[in-house]
Amino acid sequence: MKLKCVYALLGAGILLTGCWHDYVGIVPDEECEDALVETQSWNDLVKILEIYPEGQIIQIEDDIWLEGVVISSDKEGANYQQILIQNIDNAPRGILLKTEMTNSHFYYPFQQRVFLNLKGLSFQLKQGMITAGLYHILYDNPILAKIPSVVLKEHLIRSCALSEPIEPTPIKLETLSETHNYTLQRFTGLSFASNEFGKMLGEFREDSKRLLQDCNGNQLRLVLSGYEEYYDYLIPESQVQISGIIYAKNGEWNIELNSIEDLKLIEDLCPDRNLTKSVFISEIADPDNNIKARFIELYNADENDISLQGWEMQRYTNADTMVSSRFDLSSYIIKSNSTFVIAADSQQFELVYGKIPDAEAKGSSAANSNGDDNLVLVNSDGKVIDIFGRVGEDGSGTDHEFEDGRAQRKSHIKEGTDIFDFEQWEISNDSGGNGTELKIKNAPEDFTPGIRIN
Amino acid sequence: MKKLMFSALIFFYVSISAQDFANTSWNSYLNTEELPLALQSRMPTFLRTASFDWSHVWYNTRNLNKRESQLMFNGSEVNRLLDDTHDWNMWSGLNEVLRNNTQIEGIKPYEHAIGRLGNIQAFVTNPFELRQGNRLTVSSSNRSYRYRTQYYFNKITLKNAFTLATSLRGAKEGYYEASPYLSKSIFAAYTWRKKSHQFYVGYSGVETQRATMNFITKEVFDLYGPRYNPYWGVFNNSNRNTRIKHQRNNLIQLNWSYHKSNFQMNFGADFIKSIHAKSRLSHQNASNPLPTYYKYLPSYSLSNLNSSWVGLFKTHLIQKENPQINWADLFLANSQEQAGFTPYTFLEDVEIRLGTNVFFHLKKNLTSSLNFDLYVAQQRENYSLFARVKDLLGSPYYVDVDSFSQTQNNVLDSSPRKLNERINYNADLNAKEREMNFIVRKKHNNFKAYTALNYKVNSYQRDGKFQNGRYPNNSLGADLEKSFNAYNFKVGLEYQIEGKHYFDLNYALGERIKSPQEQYLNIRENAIFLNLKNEKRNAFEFKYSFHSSSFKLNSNLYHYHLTDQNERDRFYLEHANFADFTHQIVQGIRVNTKGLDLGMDFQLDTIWSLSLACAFFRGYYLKADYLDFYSDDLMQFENQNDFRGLVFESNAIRKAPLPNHPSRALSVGLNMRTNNYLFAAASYNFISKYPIDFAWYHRTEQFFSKLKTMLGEQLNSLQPKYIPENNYLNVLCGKSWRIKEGYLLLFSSITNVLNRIQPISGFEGSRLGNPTDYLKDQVRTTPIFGPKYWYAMGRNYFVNLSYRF
Repeated sequence: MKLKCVYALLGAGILLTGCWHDYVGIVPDEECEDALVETQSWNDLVKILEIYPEGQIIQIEDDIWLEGVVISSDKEGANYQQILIQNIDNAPRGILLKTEMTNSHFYYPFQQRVFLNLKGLSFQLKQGMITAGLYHILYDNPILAKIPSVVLKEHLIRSCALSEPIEPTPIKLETLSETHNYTLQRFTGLSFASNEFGKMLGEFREDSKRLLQDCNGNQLRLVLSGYEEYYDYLIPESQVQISGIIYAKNGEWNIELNSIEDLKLIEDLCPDRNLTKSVFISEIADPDNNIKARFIELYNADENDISLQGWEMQRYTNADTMVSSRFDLSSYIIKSNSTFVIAADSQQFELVYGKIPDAEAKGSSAANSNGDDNLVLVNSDGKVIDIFGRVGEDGSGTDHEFEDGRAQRKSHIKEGTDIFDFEQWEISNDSGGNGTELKIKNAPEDFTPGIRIN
Repeated sequence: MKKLMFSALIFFYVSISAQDFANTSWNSYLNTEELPLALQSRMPTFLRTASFDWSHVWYNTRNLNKRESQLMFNGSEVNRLLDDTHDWNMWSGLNEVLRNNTQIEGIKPYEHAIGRLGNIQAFVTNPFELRQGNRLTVSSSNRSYRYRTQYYFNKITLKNAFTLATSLRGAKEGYYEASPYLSKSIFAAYTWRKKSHQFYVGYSGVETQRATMNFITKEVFDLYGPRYNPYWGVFNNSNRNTRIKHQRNNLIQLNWSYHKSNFQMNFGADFIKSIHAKSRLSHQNASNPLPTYYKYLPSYSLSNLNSSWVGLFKTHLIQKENPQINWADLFLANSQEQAGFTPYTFLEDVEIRLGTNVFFHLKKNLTSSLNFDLYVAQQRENYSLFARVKDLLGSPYYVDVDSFSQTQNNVLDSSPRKLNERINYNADLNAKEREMNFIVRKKHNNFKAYTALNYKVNSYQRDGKFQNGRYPNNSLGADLEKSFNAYNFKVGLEYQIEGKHYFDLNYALGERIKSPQEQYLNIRENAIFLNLKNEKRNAFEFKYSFHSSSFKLNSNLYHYHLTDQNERDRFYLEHANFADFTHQIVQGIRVNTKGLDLGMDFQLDTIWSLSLACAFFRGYYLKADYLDFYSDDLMQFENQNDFRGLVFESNAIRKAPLPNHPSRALSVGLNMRTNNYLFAAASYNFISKYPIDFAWYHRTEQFFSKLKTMLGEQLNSLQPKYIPENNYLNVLCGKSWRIKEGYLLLFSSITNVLNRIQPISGFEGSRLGNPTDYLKDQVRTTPIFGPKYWYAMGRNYFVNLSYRF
């Protein structure tokens, strides 16, 4: 009996052994092995595409491999169903791959080195931009269709190389060329348009563009789809350094961010920009024969173009001490050694002077003064760049009256002043008081809008 | 001897099915030898067919689900209060000790058990009543497990008896791809007697880990084949499955009984501890890792005009080669630094159950022909329901945020979670059931009559341990205790003529209290209580049997009428006004069921016999009052009442067939048995007119009237969808030998010999709540959100070798 029980327990023990593998805590022990492929120059692809007419969709049939790096990321909601890769040699070139893959940053994170097998993929070169996808016909038209995830993984192979991340060095907007399309670039010293300060970077679930300018007024547009996590980031007043993928559309350069980290606030890099006195009032007209031909002319004596972002032309009517009228110059750039004419009535101006003014400021603006008002040019900081007259003093009978006449800046003057200096001006009017010339001027013969002889 | 060996064969013949078809009832533990004689002559053929041959198609006798059967284990009812079902896994693998059982089909009470509408199974594991000796069994199958070893030992002396049984079942891969299985069970019991007293102590412990499967669309079946399993992927050169059910069940039973000639008393106490965990992959802000997600299937790609044909073709070439989870990609995703979420996590939904059950049973013979049973019981259970991190898959932590609403799952503690910490939800449920049965039986000549009364009081209380950000006001803390009561009444009369004709008439009237699982909208996350009415039932059965030496007939004619049933479902609903995971509750369902079950045996000669079993079933809905939707999105919605109390289109529900049960089931069998202990049988089975579960919302006025406006008057109602007829052949054979002191038994069976693979169950997709989207999907050759099916297994075998000594 006892022995039987022992056998029974022993038997039971043996019969209760089995094994189970539950894998918990184990990581995949995959070794990374790169495919042995010979990569070619990105120019080889460009050469092939350039054989065909611009915009044609070309399917690559040769076994061509390119080496590159992922420069896009959809981690924060940008780059939905697209992956951009860039070559790693000095002359940048990029490709946008259209894909059905979402959350592609899990598999192709930013800066991931990759090999791209072109065989079987289709490409389009249009306005310098290279886009890749799969050949498809939709409503009788060839299109580039998105590459399904599993197919993409067969074409875009993750490389095992753990090389240094590519770090773009800031470049100047004016140096951009076609080959920069779909590449990762960095720009510094850019400012958002002042009228957008404090607004959101994008609109919820809507496409939006925000204007950025460098010290020289070169423009770049920040494009958002509204699906980015950072779409509600508020536009800063300070200058920024921005990194992202750029492309040119209709002659305008656009940039898209991968992350809000790509937008960095920096110190103002063009400190003189707003204090420049190179811009000044060069001619003010109140023709006796035609009050509709009034205008005010500015001049930029600098060697560079100057953006008038945030600048204003203010008028203090008669003896007013408060600004009576403001004209916003934000959307204008004044070219180097050039005039900038603001007409009171552009139609009449064109009729009278036979030329088109640079801007029009109707109503009781600085361009439409009857000769006894004070006119002030201020920059975006509200600093006075140039002034005509003395605020609070009606011009009638003073040294800054130009009623029915003209105020002309002497030709040797190269910058503005924040205090009115009669010595810098040649002023004629209908009263001739305080050193001014009593002479009525008529349009067009007595005026020179758009012309300044130094 | 011959009879004994035959019965042993029968036992194997029917016992194999239960292990492999978790959803079928355990009708199969039929031991012909130990059944009461009357039952044996009444229903063997039909019962055997339903539990063995038809378990292949998950046949539920009389369309009664698990809830309708009552399980008695050494006199106590061990059901789960959470969902009002039985936990068969408590004894899984312990076939050897479960051999001593009685099965009563239908509504008739058994001893002190009043029963429900289905059957009563009463197991007695008292070592004194088990067979003495040893038995060693080895089996092999290609279903859920590949191998099984069982050992059984029983020793009886005059004063005490002892039983020990163990079982081990395992497979690296079962019928479905990468479906591992491991189950270990042990049972030990000891009984001793002192005068009229008997004391019993028994323990059963079962640990099972097994892969689970789910319903799939026809598209997935056609693409990837009958053994396809979407829940695994290759991991370090082995197949790692994500859906594992891990159960650890422990049951201790104590029993004291006292016997006198006309008087019997029994007191029992059970202690249960069980842990059930189901693993799965969860994803946050990341794409679904399952290859069967609808967006990865051709039907979806084909619906997109902008998709390239080349891409589509290539995708499916690649996927067909490897339609599995890509573990490496999941680890890669988790290795990227993320702010505020974990792309992929391997987690477990856990249920810990602690229970006690005490009962007292008194049986008294008032006269030789009149007796009564009194049974009083109290069951208390505490459930802890939570999810926990099982594997972070390379990520440093898990961020416990609902990825749809971006709210904290536990507002009180938003710190990142580590391995094994509780996440998502965490709540306790305390449930209590108090019950009393009183049954009186009277015999008179050839008549037997009984009347039975049962009264039950159930109470539940939820205690939330997490404050869920989506339900800040009704998720944390204990809610008020809810209490329900119900009565059940049964009456019956038996009559027999010369032991040949046997008539049995039964009637039941009563109520069913709805379980906490039905009553709470989502017990895991919140305390929203639906306060559903008790289900009322009215059932009638008439059985007739005829028994002669060459012909046996058993029949059962039944009629059930059930009111205030509910249907609950949860799915992703794309409605015109919102899209969210939505609970659907259909209230006030009334059904009517009638049918006839028939079993016949013709003994052709001493060797050959012919058997026939058939079931005719007509079950349909009489009405359903209305449908309510609940979802997080809706709760934010001003007009959420537009989605409550949705009434059904007239004629849409009335007379609609009850789903998931065939109207006709037929089995024709040929059996042989020789006098040198060889047994063989073959049966051909036809299962037809099987409607699948329908989408209730599509039958509401809100949805259907829009459909009707679009389609015009041609559309009267949405027709039920039927699965194609299933017909299949099963064969089995067995032989036994006497070797020295023992017996060697060999048994084998092949199910679905012709390898016909058809769906055996299914349901319509409810996702499309927008009539235009619904129609668009309906006209597709391969719908994206078409019905999902469970497919029958292809040809499969079972071999068993057993030595008894």
